[in-house]
Amino acid sequence: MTPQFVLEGTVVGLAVGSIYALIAVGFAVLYKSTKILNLAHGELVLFGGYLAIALTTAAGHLPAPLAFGLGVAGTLVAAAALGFGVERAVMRPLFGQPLLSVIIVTLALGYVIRGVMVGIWSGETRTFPLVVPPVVVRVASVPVPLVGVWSAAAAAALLVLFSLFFRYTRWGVAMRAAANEQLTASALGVSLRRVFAYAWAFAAIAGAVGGILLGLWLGVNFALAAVGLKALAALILGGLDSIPGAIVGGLVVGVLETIVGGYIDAHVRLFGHPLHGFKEVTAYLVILLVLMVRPYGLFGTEHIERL
Amino acid sequence: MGAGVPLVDVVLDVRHVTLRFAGLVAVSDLSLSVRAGELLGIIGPNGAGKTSVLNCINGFYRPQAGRIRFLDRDVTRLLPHTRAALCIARTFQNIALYPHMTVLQNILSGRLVHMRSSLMGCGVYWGFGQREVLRHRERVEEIVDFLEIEAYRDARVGELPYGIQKKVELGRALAMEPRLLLLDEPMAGMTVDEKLDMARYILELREVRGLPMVLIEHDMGVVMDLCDRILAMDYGRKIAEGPPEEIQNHPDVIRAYLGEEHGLAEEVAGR
Amino acid sequence: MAYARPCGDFKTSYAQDMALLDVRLYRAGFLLLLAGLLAAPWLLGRWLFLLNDIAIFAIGATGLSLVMGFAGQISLGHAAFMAVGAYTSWFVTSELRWPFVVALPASALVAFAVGAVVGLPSLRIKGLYLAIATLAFQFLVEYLIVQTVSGMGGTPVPPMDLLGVPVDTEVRFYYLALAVWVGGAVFATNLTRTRVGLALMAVRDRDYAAQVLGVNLLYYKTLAFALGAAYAGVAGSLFAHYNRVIGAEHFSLAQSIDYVAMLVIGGLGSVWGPHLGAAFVRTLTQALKIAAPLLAASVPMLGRATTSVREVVFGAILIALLIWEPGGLATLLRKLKRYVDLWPFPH
Ligand SMILES: Nc1ncnc2c1ncn2[C@@H]1O[C@H](COP(=O)(O)OP(=O)(O)OP(=O)(O)O)[C@@H](O)[C@H]1O
Ligand SMILES: [Mg+2]
Repeated sequence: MTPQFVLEGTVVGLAVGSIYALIAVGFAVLYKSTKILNLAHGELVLFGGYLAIALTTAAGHLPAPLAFGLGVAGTLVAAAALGFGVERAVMRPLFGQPLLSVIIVTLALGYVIRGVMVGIWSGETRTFPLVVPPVVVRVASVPVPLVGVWSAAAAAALLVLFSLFFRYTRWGVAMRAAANEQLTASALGVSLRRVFAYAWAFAAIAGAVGGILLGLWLGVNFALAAVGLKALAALILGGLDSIPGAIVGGLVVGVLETIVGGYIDAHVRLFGHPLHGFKEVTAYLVILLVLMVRPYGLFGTEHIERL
Repeated sequence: MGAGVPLVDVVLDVRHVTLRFAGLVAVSDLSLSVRAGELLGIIGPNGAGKTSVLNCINGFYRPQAGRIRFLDRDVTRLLPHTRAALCIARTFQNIALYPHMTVLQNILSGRLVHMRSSLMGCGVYWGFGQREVLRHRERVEEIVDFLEIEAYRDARVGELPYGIQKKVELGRALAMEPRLLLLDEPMAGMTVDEKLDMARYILELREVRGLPMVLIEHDMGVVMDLCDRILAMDYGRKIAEGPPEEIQNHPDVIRAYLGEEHGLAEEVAGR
Repeated sequence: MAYARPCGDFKTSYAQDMALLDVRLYRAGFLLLLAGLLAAPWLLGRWLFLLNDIAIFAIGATGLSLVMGFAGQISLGHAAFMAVGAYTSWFVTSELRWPFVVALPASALVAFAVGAVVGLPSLRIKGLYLAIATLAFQFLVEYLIVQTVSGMGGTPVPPMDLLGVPVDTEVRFYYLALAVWVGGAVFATNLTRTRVGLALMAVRDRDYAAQVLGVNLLYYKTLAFALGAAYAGVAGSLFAHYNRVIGAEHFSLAQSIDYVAMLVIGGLGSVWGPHLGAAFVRTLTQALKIAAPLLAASVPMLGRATTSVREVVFGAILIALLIWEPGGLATLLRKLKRYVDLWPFPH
């Protein structure tokens, strides 16, 4: 493993990881305020990617930046609406029901969303019309496509924006209060229903933005929904109830899969066989090891059982 | 009592136990012993370390120093479930029943330490497995009768009122056929009637079965009435030990309770 | 719970009280069900394959029910245990050329052992964290299948043969699968009402208190995983010889998640749950496989999007069912039972 290889892996991994982190934060916020593990999160990402591409293409007669801007704005509005709609129509009737039932409902919701997406736009890879020029720039002497830089920068900026939102706005504070103690929050006059609705909208928006950024870089096809699983892995690695954990988790998963995965794929041989595709497995093996040492993730609060 | 008592008489012997949590000494160089048929009370203000002592006896916490003997064995290094298999039973301050199981299942689970059927025996059932379950089931019914909870037999424990849950928890402990019973605030949060019931059960266990017990309780009236001997704790240390009358008037005990909302003196005077 | 029971049925012993089918009416109903299952080849005709499919997955789901419903440990690697059984069976019959009667128990045993090892982290890692930890195993198995045996395609599995009798028709396979299914279900049900079941439920409800009351967590948690895996292994072995070809796609994460869905839909912690859930999910899956192309063909707008029609309808039905009855089908069954118990006095 040469220093150059590590450096390249780190830069590219951090760029991808920042998008994972963004998606994972949406996941984490939803989990924190509603205690629901949303297995449809990857489909929200898919939704964002597909819709933004469709809208941008539809506005193709306008100048590219404007078309893209309109596409993104439309997608975000649609994502928020989807979030509110899901909360109202599906999650609210399930309030207080066994957690696993609710989780399976989110899974089924994912099937529905993915089915509709793929039904409309088919399973092939779709790409944005040219928004960012296809050039390669050097970051810390590592060649990275310009879109990657843009995506990562946007993800980082949004992460900062989100943390400001949770620290300083009324709804951000309310959602944090609900996350900490649902009963206290409702006693304080925070409407739990509204918090849940906002949490879903927030998750959908964060997912959609993730979809747009990944889509800009890599294009969108139905397999994109699998990043939902990566976000989940990032979240678990960081600690389910920790937002900073989700960010660190996202970055670590991004770097892990590029460096360790890339290295093993390219260089490690077992009984003479190259270990192609071990990337996926590595990330989860590392998570397993981390959990063995820290069962509540890197930053999750440990739940101490007292007798 | 005193120096002349032979050692076999001592059921439980805790020697110089110290338990620390990061930066906090929960139990400090504490020694206590429970003799056959004896009811030992442990009192002390909130956070004094009473529950921690029981947790050390159970093996739920591992003390950094000290030794614990039960009957003729040194159990200091044993795992919690192995100690339980020696028939040390326990009830918990914050009810720790199995909420999704029925009352019968909860009490039957106390019999687990006595169940011997193999995996195959359990799965095939007809024959050995069934006979074993039915035999245990009879013991469970005796306990249900003793605690007067027949009406709740098949109810899920999580849905029962608090007072009943406390009874079920005692039932589960009794199902272990304990040779030592540890009771952590069995009457906390109960109505007067329920407390009277509970006191009756405890007395009967002591008088009729001669079951050695450790009782943690904040209700001073109950402790003074029931216990043979009382150990008072504060900040993890033993501050006094002796018969109820002596503890009641012990200056250190009174001092320990003075800072409390309901001081001992007040409570004793008030009853 | 002293509600009226159908006339003349009073419990007179604990044995009767612990019996699974405590009232004559239910015993009769159960016998009817068994009779129906035995007569299924005549009743279902060419649709018998549906029941074969259900039997295989119900056996697997029974195993997961021990892990999740009774011991309370979430596993997202159940299909991987099925793979362990399937490939063991393949190895024993195809490579070692030993008969299927050896391969089936061998699959159970190998999966049991693997399950015990995979269950070890559950001692430290809990809840959703454990679910993700089991993913490592799921992906590892998928990876190994692709890298070592099957590649991206499939591995052919020899036909089955039961002590010289070839099991080469749907009907013959059906009776074999039915025997294993009923036997496995009875075994699991018996476990749940004896020592093992009590201990598993104690672990599920409050593991840290259970250990203080004599439950060996290491033993019971690994036992739960091992047992669950053994059931999956048996299901895998049957699947391998039924399908005659096995590959990574049959034991994917999606299948593992499907197992979890089956359990939740059937009802967690109920002995009927896995069977109801498997029947529901597999029937729906198969029905949509047949119906979706028809639907897509009749509505031109849907074009070639049959897979997505399937996904959408499948998802929507799951959502509707769980909103209607979050406790799953077993809860519906229980409500029905209560209704029958009270009849004709509906209080
Ligand atoms: N697992 C733990 N981790 C950290 N500190 C603990 C733990 N368990 C107990 N403590 C601390 O040890 C001290 C003694 O606690 P313990 O529960 O034994 O008190 P107690 O006498 O039973 O009090 P109470 O009357 O309120 O039940 C307390 O300060 C408590 O916060
Ligand atoms: Mg206490």
